[in-house]
Formats: sequence, structure tokens, C-alpha cells
Amino acid sequence: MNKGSFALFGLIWVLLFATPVLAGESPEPSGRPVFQCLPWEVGQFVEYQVIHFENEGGNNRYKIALVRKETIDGKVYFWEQIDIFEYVYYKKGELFKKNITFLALVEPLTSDKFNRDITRYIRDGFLPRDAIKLKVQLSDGPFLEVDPSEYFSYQHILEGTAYSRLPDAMGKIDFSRLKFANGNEQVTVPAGVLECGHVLVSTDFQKEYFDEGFDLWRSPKVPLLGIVKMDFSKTSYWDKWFYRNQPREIHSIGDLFHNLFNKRILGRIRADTYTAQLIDYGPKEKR
Amino acid sequence: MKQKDIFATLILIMLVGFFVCPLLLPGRGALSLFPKNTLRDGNYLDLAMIRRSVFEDGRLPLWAPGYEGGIPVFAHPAETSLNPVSTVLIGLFHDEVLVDNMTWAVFYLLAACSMYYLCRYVLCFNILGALLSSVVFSMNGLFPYLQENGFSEARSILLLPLLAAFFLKTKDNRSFIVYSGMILAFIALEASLFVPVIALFLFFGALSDSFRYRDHGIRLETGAFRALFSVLVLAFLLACIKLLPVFLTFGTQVRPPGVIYSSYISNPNTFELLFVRLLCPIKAFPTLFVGVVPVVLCVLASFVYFRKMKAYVIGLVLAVWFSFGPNAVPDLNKMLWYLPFFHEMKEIPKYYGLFIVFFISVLSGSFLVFLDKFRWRVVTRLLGSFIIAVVFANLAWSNMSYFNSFNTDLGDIDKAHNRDFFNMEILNGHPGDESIATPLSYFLYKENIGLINQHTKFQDLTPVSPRFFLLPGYAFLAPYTSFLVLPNPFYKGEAYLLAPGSRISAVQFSSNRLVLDIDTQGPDRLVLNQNYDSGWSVSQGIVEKYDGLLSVRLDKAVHCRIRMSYLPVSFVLGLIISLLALAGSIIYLIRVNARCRS
Repeated sequence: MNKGSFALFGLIWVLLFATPVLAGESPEPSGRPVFQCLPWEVGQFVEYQVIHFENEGGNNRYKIALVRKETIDGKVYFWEQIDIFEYVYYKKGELFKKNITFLALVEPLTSDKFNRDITRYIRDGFLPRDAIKLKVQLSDGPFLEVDPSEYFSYQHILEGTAYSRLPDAMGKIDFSRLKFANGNEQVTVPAGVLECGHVLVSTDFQKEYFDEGFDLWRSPKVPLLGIVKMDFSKTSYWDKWFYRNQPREIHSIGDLFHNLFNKRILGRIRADTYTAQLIDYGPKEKR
Repeated sequence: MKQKDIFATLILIMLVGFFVCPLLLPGRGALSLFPKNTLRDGNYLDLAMIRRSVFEDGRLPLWAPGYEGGIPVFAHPAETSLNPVSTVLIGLFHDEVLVDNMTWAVFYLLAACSMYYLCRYVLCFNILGALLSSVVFSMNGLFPYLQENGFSEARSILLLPLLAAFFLKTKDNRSFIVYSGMILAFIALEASLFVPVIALFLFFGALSDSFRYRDHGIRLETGAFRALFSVLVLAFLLACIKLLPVFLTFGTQVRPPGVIYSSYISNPNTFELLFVRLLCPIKAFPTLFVGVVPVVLCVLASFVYFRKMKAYVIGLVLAVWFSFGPNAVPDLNKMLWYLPFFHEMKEIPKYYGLFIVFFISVLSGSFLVFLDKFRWRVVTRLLGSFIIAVVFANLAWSNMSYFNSFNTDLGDIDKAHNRDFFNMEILNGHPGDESIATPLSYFLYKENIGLINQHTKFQDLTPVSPRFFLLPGYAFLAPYTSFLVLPNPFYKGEAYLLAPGSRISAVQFSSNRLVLDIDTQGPDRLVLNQNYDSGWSVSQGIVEKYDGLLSVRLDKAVHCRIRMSYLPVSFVLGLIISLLALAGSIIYLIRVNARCRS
């Protein structure tokens, strides 16, 4: 190969890689599907419910809606309203009480942005960490504007305590193990049956903590992040339970003591699977 | 006490001592290496509070500013500050984990000895029967479950056999009314929610003892009822320091409106669940694991020795029936649910389970009386010892492992970083929140931070405003359960003045005392971010309720240090009554003993 053809060959490769970057698109890792996001419009909303094995704290609902559009310096932003409802399970009558509402002015999410940084959007969910403006409302009281950059900067208070060393606080997801299922899957949720792409981080029962894996299904027909269903904190909890609690076969006195003094996973019968599922969304696609 | 009994008691202490020894082993491993239920024991917080309040500030912990926005400590039925064993131990060792473990170990040993005393000296079992009952009662799965789940107040109910023994002896000796009252009062000092259930079963005991078949007819004898009444009154007087504040708070407190009984009661028994709880270790919670052998022996004793043990058999049936809650017809528990205290009992199998394991322990031991009927003493003794060994091994094997999670090395947890007191509140908590809130409240307390919703159910709603909210990550559809710390933008401070221009320069919060430096221009109102309670007094101004919060009305300009102190009338009155009752009981016992000698 002479110098000219080598340079031409190199130029073709550079152009091949540079084109998507220059066009504002990121190169896709091989085998990864491209996710589509519904363009944001005022009036879109999604409503989720958390379900799990026990009643306590379960059935809490979260509604996220785009309520207004605002243009700042020629750039379009949306006011995203996040309502957090708590289900009071042992009472009849008013079952849902609204605890807190966040009204965040955020940049609209596009398919391109989502595909470029999928880890971030899964890790943070609807947490309005990058909001331009942020308002907070308690129950049905007045809204109060806060500084978003300052608002999310108090995590050190908890991280400074020994709580952060508990498994509940430590169970982190290793996003480097993020996988994408081939093809679409049909997922049934209260909002309907939807054709979904499947993103997951799997784990096995020998891992120390119980909530380092998750499964997420998303549909391009669902607005905002497109989340249809999410299972997390599952990770074969009972497999782990049995793995850790199974006594050793006794061949020596050491095995006897191992069985007696072995640290075990104790506790209640809890499935430890938190499932957030879509119970409503809109506007729905016209048939 | 005979030599044989001394020998048997020593063996019993060795067996139960072996069972509890993991509790006393030094901390192994780091905190993070432990499974998820580490630090579930709510007592660590109480012990930390006693340690700080009594041994550092030199004051009784009457008011806890960090518990649910400030609560009167002694008015909480499950608060454990009044357990003398743990209070003395925390003063000596300054280590919450070690002291909690030691206190539980002491009570497991006391339970074994109490049961031995009841079976051997009151119910006249043979030594092997008494040993079996003692092993089953002190090593069954219920108490490790209660310990592991943070119900530290429940350890004093391990004295139930001693209470039963003394109560049964009131028939022959009236001074046992005083002893019974003292034991019941001791239980009431930290496990006051168990007292109504204990009183209920003492009532059934008195009832079964009152009807006698005599002269071709059934006659009612009221002696047991009179003894029961005396025991209850005396126990109330002795425990008035605790029960008076509890009664004044909980006796009048009604359930939150609209509560559904069947949803509120958790984990009631079914036949299947009962068998799983009794026979399978760590399968269903609360577990009552006693194993197959005691259950079989209990069933056999219920048939073979029914006449002799009928009160215990009926007691067992009633305890099982009550524990079924909404799953039984008729629902006996619901009849009691409308009474004060009973409606605070949520997880009913743990309350009635106490009596299920108690009656099974007694009945299983009673069956070993059959060994005395055989001639070959050596063989029967070997058989009895073999049964005890099997039961011991089964219970030790299954229940001992519970204790491993308590050997927690807390490391540098005592290094507090935060000096300014404020509260946090968990919003939209996730399932089994007690398991998160309990250790969290302990860690926060170490940092001088309170937690408004500790799931102690003391207050349904509090007007106290948290400085920070704790919101689980999944509230934003993020896949994790740990908390995000978000400031409350409506927070006004732990103390503030309503008039503009006024200012507070320093606020010090400690148990029973608030100190504030205030500068006002004229009449003003000082508002404290704490629940109102009438037990507060102030060096200047008038204490008033303001939107449910504690406040001080200042009728003129103030430029000085204001001190607020908490000493409720119910506590003072309760203390006086308890001391008088204790003095009266001791004098009575001394006089009775002197009369017996003469």
C-alpha cells in the first residue's frame, strides 16, 4: 500500500467516525439497540406505582407531567411536575396523600440524548438534578423556588453517618454490566400491553448485596423517559438467602462451629423486589 | 434447695449459657459485611440516649427532642430507659451493642431459672420435666425473633414464668401477691403493651381456678380473683412512674380515624402458618419455633394429663385462638381491639405467641412425669436426658444463629460531626421501613439529628417541621432504595420569633432542657420546633401551644438567656406513687417475714 492510498484509507475511516460526532450523534456500541423517545409536548404525563410483596410503603404513586413550556434565550425548556403520593394502606377513605411536588424547568429529552447517556437517565430517573429552575410544594401548600444546584448538595449529611455503610444504602448498580436484550418484549402493566425494549443489569446469588441488579422495560410510545416497568432490588434474594444460610455438611468440628456461628441473612419474608410499573400515561396514540 | 436441683440448675445455666454465648462474643467483621438486618435492635437508640442523658448530662431522659419531633420518653410504652439492668450496664461499659446483648443474655438465663422454679417448685414436675420446660421456654425462636426485630422491650417478658409461679403461690402465701406485683411492675416498666395480654391470661388463670366441683355442685371461689385484683393494683402503683404517663397519653389516644381492623392487624395465624411457625425455623415471622418434640409432648400431655393440666391446655387453646385474629370465628382479638392498649397491638402473633410458647413449654415438660412410673430408673433418666439433648440441639442449632447479627463492630460511630440539632423526615418510605428507620435513627442520633417518623407510632401526625426530607431513590424512578437528602424549603429553624427584628443567637437542645439567647424589641412569641407538651416550664414568659408546637408568649421585650425545662406532673406524681408503693411493699414483706419467724 503506497502513502496516498494509506492516507485515503485513513481519511475514509476518520470521516466514518467523525460524521456522527459532527452531526451531534454519538457512535453506538455494537449490539446495542437504538432507543426512541417521544418528542416532549405539554400535556404529556406518566403515572407509576411501586408494588412489592408487603403492603407497607407499597402502592406509593408517582406522577410526572409536562405542564408548561418556556423559552429562555431562544432555547425551549419544559416545566416538569413530579408529584409524589403516599399510599396509607391501613386507612379507608382517602388512600393517597400527596407528600411533595417538584416543579422543575428542564431541557427536553431527545432520543439522541437518551442514547448517548443511557446510564445517566436510568441511574437518575426523574431526579431533576440538572433543572434550570426548581420549585417545591409540600402537600397542597404554596410552591417555593429553590436553587437546584444547592438543593441536591446535602447528600454528605447522610454519607457522613454509618447508615451509608448499611447494605440498604450500599447496594449500588454496576452500570458497566449494563446489557440490552435482543428484540422487543411484550410487557403487561396496568396501563396496557406495550412492546418494549429491555435493559438490565443482572447479578447472581453469590454477590454480597441484594439490590445491585435491575430490569427496565421502556417503550417509545410512552412519553418522557419511556419507562414502562422497572424491577430492582431483586437479584435472586431467596437464592442468596439459601446460599448463605445453608449449613455446611459436617465433616469436622470446624464445620459444626461454622454452622453454629455462621453469619446468616435473617429477617422477615420479604420478596425485596420493588417493581415500579406504569399505571397510566397520556396522551395515548390515536388508533 | 436440694443438691440435685442445684446440679440441675447448673446444667441449665450451662446449656442456656452456651445458647447465648454468641451474644457475648466480641464484635467480628466490619459493619458493611453484615447482612441487611444489622442493627435492627431499636434499643441501641434508647441506650445511647440514656448514656448521653444520664451519664454525660446528669439528667433523666424525660424528653427526647429527636424522637418524632419531641416526645415524653416515659410515656412511650415500649421505651426501655427504665430497665435497671441495661441502665447499670451502659453506665459501666458505654457500648450500646455489648450492653444490649448482655442484657438479653441475662434475661435468657433468668427465663430458664424462672421456668425451672415454676415447674419444679410450684407445678412439682420431676427434674427432667422442669429442665425440658426451661430449655424450650428460654431457647424457643420467639425471643431471638423479637430481639432481632428490635422489640427490646420484650426481654422483660422472659420473666413470665416467675410471675406465673408467684401468682400460683398467692393461694398459699399472701406475701406472693407483693412478689407477683413486683414482677408484673418490672415487666410494665418497659413492656407495658404486653401487660394487658398478661393480665388477660392471669384473668383466665384465676377463672379456671375459681370454679370447683364440690358437694355435688360447682362452686365459685373468689380467692384467685381477689389475688389477681391485688396484684394488678399493686403492679400499677409500683410501675406508676411509667404507667401514669403512658395511661395519660395512650389511654385517651384513639386510633387514627378510618383504620381498617383487618388491614391493621399484621401476620395473624392460620393453621398452616401456626405449624410453620412452631415447627420450621426461620420460615414465617414472627417465628415461634420450638421444634417437633416439644409439640408432640405437649399434645400427648394435653390428652394424658388433661385433668391435672387442664388450665394450661385451655390457656394454650385460647392463646392460639386469639393469635388467629381475623382468621378465627369468632374473632376474639377484635373484641379486645376496642379497648385502650389492645388497639396498639398490631402484630398479634408476637403478643399471643408468648403464651403459646409458654404453655407448650409447660405442657411438654409435664409429660416427662410419665418417666417416674417406670421401674428402671437408669433407663428412664437416660431417655429423659436424650429427649432434652435432642430438644436443646434442635433449638440451639436453629435459633442460635440469630445472635450472630448482633456482634456488630460500630467502628468510629461515636465521632459526631454535627453539633446543631435538627430533624429529618422519611417521605414515602419503602417496605419494612422499621428496618431502615431504626438503625438510621440511631446513626442520626449519634450525629445529634432527630428522625420525625421513627415508626414508633407515638404520634400519627406531628406539626414539627424537618430540616431535611429523606426520599428513597425510586421515588424518582431511579433503581435504588437508599435515601436522597433534600432540604425542606419551608423550614424556619428549631426556634424562631414571630416579630420581625427579633433574633435568637444561640440554641442548645438537650434532654429536658432548652437554652436560648433571645433579643426582642417588644412583645413577641418564641416558637420551638418541638411538639407541645404541658410539662414544659420557662424562666421567662408563658408556655403555650402554637399550631401544635411548643411556644413561649413573651409579653415584653427580652434581652437575655431563656431556659426551658421539662418535668411533667405525670412523671412526678408517678414517681412519688411508685416510691411509696415500693416502700410499702418492702415494709409489708419485712413484717410478714418477721411474723413468720416469730
